[in-house]
Amino acid sequence: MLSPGAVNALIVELRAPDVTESRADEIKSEIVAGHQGLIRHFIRLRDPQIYEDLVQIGTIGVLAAIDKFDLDRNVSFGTFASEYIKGELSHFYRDDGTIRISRSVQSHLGQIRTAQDAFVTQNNAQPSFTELENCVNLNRGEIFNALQANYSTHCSSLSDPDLHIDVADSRNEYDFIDEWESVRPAIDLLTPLDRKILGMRFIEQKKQGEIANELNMNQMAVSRRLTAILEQLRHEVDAE
Amino acid sequence: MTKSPEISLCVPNQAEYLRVIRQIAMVVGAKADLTLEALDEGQLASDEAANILMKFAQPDDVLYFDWSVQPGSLHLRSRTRCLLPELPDLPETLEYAWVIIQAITSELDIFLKDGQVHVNLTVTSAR
Repeated sequence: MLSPGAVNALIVELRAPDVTESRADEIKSEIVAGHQGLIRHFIRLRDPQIYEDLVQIGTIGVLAAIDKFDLDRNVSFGTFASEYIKGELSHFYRDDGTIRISRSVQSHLGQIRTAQDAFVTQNNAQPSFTELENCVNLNRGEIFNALQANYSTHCSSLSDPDLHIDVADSRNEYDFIDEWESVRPAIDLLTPLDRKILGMRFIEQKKQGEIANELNMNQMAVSRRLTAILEQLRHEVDAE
Repeated sequence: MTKSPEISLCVPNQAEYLRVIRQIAMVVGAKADLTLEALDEGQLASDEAANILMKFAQPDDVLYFDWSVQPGSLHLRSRTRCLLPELPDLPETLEYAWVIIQAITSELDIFLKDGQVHVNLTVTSAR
């Protein structure tokens, strides 16, 4: 990563009236290369199939930040660029993800999630399907569609509070996974949070609702992440 | 597991049919009035059962599934012709899939009978 001073010097040179086009391209490439670590830091989705695409999207954020960066403000380029990287990635997750969910289905998912949370708060138990059906103004087909969309969605918004849970690196905590040699590469790609969820569910044998409580998540969010984790592991086994 | 099937399905031994199996498991699970969590795990268990059958089935064979329900429980009986004369050590062969299917089912029975491998399981809502 370039030092803040080095980035500022490059931007000053970039904005000089006599900079050539080729030198401008070199400078931008140098700044982008110096912020690859930052881009990768913000890519929470470790799906190898679109990981490099996400790096490219993060790069667009860095390029936008180069154009907008105000050298007179008392903020480092890295801090400034972070917002642009997150913005570009959020935009992708929201609007350009590989799986599109219609607004109506998103709205139905929101209704189901809210109703489920309210039921759990009131009754200290997960609702049955019928109980949930009675709490939302949706027919059975709409609920099925929404749940299917929930399981099918692996991309999470960067503003998703689930992604900001402070989970210590669970690699050591769940050394048991070392025994799963066939899926080891896929497990290594999981985020600490996903490793934690995997261990809590299948080794500690906690129910999704319990995991959700402990990690301050919603059960549907735990379900969505578990589905994504298991598909990733399955993909690894099938690729062997 | 003696209840008559709510729905039966036979599909070719191809991974592209897993999605159909999951969707049927969800719809049948809703008839059992499962919680969303159990509904999710009913799908996952059906998916894992299918994967186990695929592991032991002939490539051009057919997988059979019968789902039945009781309030709060989803039962699956599934089977296919087995490639092998006897089943290998399942925890060692299935590895992580064994841990997963054991964790999400309240009953699990995998056995070989008359040349067919059977995976029977139950998923129950924990309230």
